[in-house]
Amino acid sequence: MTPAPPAEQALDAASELLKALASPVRLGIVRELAAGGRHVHELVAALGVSQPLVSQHLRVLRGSRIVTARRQAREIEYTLADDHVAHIVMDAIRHAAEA
Amino acid sequence: MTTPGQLDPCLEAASELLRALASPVRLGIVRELAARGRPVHELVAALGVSQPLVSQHLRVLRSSRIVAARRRAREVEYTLADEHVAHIVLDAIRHAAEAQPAPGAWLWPASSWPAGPSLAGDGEPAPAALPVAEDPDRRGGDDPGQAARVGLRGVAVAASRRRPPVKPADRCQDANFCI
Repeated sequence: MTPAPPAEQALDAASELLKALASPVRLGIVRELAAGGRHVHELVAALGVSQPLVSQHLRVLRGSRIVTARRQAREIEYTLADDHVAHIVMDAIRHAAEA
Repeated sequence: MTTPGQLDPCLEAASELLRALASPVRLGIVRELAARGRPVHELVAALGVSQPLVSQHLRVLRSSRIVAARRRAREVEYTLADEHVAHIVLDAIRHAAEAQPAPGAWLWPASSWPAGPSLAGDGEPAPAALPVAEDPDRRGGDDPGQAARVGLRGVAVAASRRRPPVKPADRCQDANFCI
């Protein structure tokens, strides 16, 4: 099997990224993280959803490398892996607000 | 009881938008249209996929109001409904390009590539989501909000302390609240 052309790979990967973002809770998490790193309990308070639900969605975001985790003292701090993701989410929310 | 949609309708609407974009063919179409409006046959030539497949994906994009169609002489020209969509798609491709080892000028429209890309394998026209098992929103049945609602019981008070109350709405109406 010949490898897919880079162009197709990029569209496939971009499509996977958008799928991984396409959830209200995950968009809410990314919007919070766009302002700075957060601990789980801060995300729970900001979004008003349960801690298990936030953790579940964080696992999806980490699995897609949208979010990275690092241990800080006793807590884990979550941050965005790069700025593009924040731009994507803010643009999507703006588009939704204007539509 | 709250759902994420009631908590912040913009997040629900933004999530629908991303789902509607999340397909290699649809991303390819939007990237082409980011340069300028095009008739179907130009999209077919640029993407190297069949005309019925392009038309199918255009229908999805039109019903999500990502793409608008207007008749020009004998042809229908497709354009992007607004610039945010182009930014979203170009940022997503840039992110994907950085996350992968192989470099490349993937942001250019396909029409400028030396060898036309083949997207023929992408035969799924409907907006796709993560597999049920991987997506907490979708676990436990066909109702996308079910898992979320179960997890939301009892935390509405915490939410109302943080943010002003928002009336349940099908559409997002307050950009200042959302951003």
